[in-house]
Amino acid sequence: MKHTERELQSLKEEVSQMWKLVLSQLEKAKQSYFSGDIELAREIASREKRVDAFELKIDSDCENYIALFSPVAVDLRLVLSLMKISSTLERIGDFSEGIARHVIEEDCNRMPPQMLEDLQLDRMFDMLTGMLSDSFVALESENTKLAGRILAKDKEIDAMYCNSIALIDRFLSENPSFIHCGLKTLLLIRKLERIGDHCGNIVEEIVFYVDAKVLKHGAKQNKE
Amino acid sequence: MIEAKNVNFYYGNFHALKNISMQMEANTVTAFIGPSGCGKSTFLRILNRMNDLIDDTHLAGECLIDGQNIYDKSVQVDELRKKVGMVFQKPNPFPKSIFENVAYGLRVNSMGDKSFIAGRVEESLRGAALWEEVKDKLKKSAFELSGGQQQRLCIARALAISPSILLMDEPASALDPISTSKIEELMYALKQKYTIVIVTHNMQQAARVSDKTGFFMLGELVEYCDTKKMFLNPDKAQTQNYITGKFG
Repeated sequence: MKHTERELQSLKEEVSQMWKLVLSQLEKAKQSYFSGDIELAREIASREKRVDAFELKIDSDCENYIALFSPVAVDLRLVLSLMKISSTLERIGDFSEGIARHVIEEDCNRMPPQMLEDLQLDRMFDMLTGMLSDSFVALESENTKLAGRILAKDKEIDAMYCNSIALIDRFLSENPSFIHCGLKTLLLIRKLERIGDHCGNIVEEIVFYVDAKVLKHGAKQNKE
Repeated sequence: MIEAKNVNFYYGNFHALKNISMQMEANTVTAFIGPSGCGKSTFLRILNRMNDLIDDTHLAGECLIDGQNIYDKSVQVDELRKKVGMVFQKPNPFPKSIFENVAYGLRVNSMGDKSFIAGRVEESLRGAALWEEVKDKLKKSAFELSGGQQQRLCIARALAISPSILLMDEPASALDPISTSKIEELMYALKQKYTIVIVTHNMQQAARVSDKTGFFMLGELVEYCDTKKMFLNPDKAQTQNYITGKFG
């Protein structure tokens, strides 16, 4: 392997490590939310600094690579994609921390179990961790066939989010004492919906790197 | 417009260029890239019949400039070279004054009187972005100029006889970054009037200055397309491997 290839490989490796950390943050966020484990939530909040540090390091390494090696074609696309992916992973890290804060604050009664079941929060979390894992596999294997599947899941999550607004609206009109908790839950679901969007953005970057195709802003349906 | 149709070229038995077909539009910069020995300079020299000077060479196919096959028997090589100027890797001014270097082509071709020549020399030096630097020392030897200035003097010399095409064989490879930048700026300005074909080993230079790029490998034109496409998403794996430095 040539020197330049080794540099690119190590850049990719850094993003992989960040990815694993963010995935673990999201999994723990789910765990802490459903178990109400405040200690675990605090651990997530404190590990967020590591996610931020990864982003700064990757930004700096990408900048150095561009300045020193003047990459073109597939190498240039990879570096640009890695920069954007790392920034997107950082946002997902923020949302995971946001979910953890929701647990730490514990300033409202929890929604009734049946309501949580109706909102399909458990399934939403699982879909998101699946999307994040699949997109990681797509980058590692440079396989864009997974892209369509991940983008379709994002649409499904969007629909679940819309549905949850109606469910919470109805629930709160019948149970006004839950207003604070209901709004908090809606904010949490909004975070999950945003994580889904970010997973979609990551996939777009992988398709740009591997196939040199731009899926952003309305071109997504080409892949689905 | 320059057009090559199934051009094959041989040095003795060595098949140096294989079935090259391509078109170069007027007022564009076309860059040829590829590893050493791939045939890019040979192809460049075909465009003004410089290879005619080498013994035991043979060309098959057609090379047309503005629709005329330049290898047709009716074509006079001297006339062709008035139309197709050339600048080489190493600046090669004549052992004469700056003025005489530029005037040389006009004099040997008996083009115009003294005032015409003086006017054309100034125009050519301005065209080569050198006038301001040499206007007060036109009678000084060309060898007193720096490497970058000498190369621009050679460009001015080529421009003096009003060619329509300018061939450049690694024109900046012996120059420092500032002189290189001046030559590149010059190319950008000159393409308004001339069709430029450049051979370069500097990939970033090809990306910066050219509109189209041709990638040569082992005597074949592997890929020829818009420069932007070549450096963002080339069609051929061979091209991608070369421009990203994975082989070559």
